[in-house]
Amino acid sequence: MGSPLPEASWNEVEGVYYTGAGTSEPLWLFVSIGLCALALVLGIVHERHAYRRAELDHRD
Amino acid sequence: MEDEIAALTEQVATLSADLAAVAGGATNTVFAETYYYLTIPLMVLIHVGFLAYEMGASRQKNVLASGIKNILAFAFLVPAFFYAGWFVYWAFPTGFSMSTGFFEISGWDYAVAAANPVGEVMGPNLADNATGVFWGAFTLFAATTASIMSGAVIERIRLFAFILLALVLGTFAWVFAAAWGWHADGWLVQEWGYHDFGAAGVVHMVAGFFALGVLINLGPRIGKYNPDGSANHLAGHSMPMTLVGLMTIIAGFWGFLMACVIVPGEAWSWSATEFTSIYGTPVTLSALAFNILMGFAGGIIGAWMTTRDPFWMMSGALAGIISCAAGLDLYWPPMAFAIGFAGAAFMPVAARFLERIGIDDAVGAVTVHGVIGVWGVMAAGLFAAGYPAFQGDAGSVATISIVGQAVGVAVMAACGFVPGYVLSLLLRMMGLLRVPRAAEIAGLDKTKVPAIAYPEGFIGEGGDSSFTAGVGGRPAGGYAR
Repeated sequence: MGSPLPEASWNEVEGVYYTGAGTSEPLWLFVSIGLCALALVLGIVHERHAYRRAELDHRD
Repeated sequence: MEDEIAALTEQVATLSADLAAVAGGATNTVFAETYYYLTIPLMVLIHVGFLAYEMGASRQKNVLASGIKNILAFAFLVPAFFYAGWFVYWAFPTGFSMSTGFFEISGWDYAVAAANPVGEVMGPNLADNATGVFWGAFTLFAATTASIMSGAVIERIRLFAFILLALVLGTFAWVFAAAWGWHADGWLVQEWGYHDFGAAGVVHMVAGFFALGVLINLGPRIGKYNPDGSANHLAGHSMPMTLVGLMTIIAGFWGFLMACVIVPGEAWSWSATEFTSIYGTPVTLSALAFNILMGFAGGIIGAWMTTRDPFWMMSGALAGIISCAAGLDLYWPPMAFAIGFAGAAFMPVAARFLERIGIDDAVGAVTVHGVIGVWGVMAAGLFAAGYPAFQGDAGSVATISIVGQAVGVAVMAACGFVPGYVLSLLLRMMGLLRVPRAAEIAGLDKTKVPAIAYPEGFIGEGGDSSFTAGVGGRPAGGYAR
């Protein structure tokens, strides 16, 4: 994370300059994929409960 | 003869080079001018979006009054920014002294040359292809701040009071913040390394905290709170209109962020060949494309996960972009996704807290722009520390830091909250802030608008003032099921 620049200057910077370049890419890749997966799983659970509730209500 | 041919050949070569330079220069000048010109209609989409958003969030009896308020804020800010706002931005970066800054693109003399409302460049001028389009882009930024405040105060603020507050916010409050934190000569940038590429602090925090100051004095809508302090949800009359409005704001945001970039190759450019931020630091449109989309997506998904509510989902899109805005030029895209996700997922916590302490923010403006703006500014300090804040040699340039961003947060919050609170307090003391109770109950459209929003009626349960269980209805006080 943070600046990957070798010194605190934009002089001579060419190419890659994003935060954490060369060190933390795998971490953030897994974090973002994990967040998507977590949201999907919780979404499935929520949807299942909602449909079950609808079926119970309809039965009544 | 041979000498004559050689001389002519040399002359032709020189003329060709001169022509290429002029043509290339003219082409670049036209490109730069067109680039900023196009950001303006894109940013007008932000106002289309806010208009739909606010009208949809209003109850049927107030829908046109909310629309008029929003449109007039935009209209009044255009001349105000011409007369004063543009000058403030160029005159005050170093503080209140109007002295010339480090890069010599600020101070009284510079402002008189570049932004004097009676000066030669503030009108059609064949020698100036930049002032009008820059002014236009900044005017749209100013109008955005007013629109942010506009939604929070719907259904009970007096029109005159709102316009006055919008003028102060759009012409002075955010402009001082921008001069200090969104200008290479700004003292926040020079001394603290404050970095805010996409104006998370300068626009969003200032507008959100300004709205908070106003809401404290304005008070909640009638019916919002019960005698025991519990809150009721006052549903707007059209959630679909609100959702389309929010998505339109996202489309307009591309213009906003596009206008945060400085085109290369002109006399006023930082670089001959590269896009830069407003601070002169390098950036590419590709970087923005990556991080805007990732922040937007992370925001929607994060908000969906914690609220399931379409209104908060789309607000999450905005929150996601605001969360990433300060470091949009620097983040690695999956990091931007996570930052946006975190900000949007936290939104309902902040919204519930504000509601619990008696702040009736009809559209969540304080949450989305104020609170998430804080996260956006601090995220740059957490995840982008160490980058130089402007051009220069190592050791001579302030760098981005948590402390610098925290100082920026304090300044931005003050730039917004103090004028919003003080002016609204004065208006309240003079009886000019809030509409009379009878007008609020009857509805502002019936009271003062010579038109009917839905002359053939509108489908809903329970009539207009008790319209809670139909379109957009949610359990009172609840944000997630």
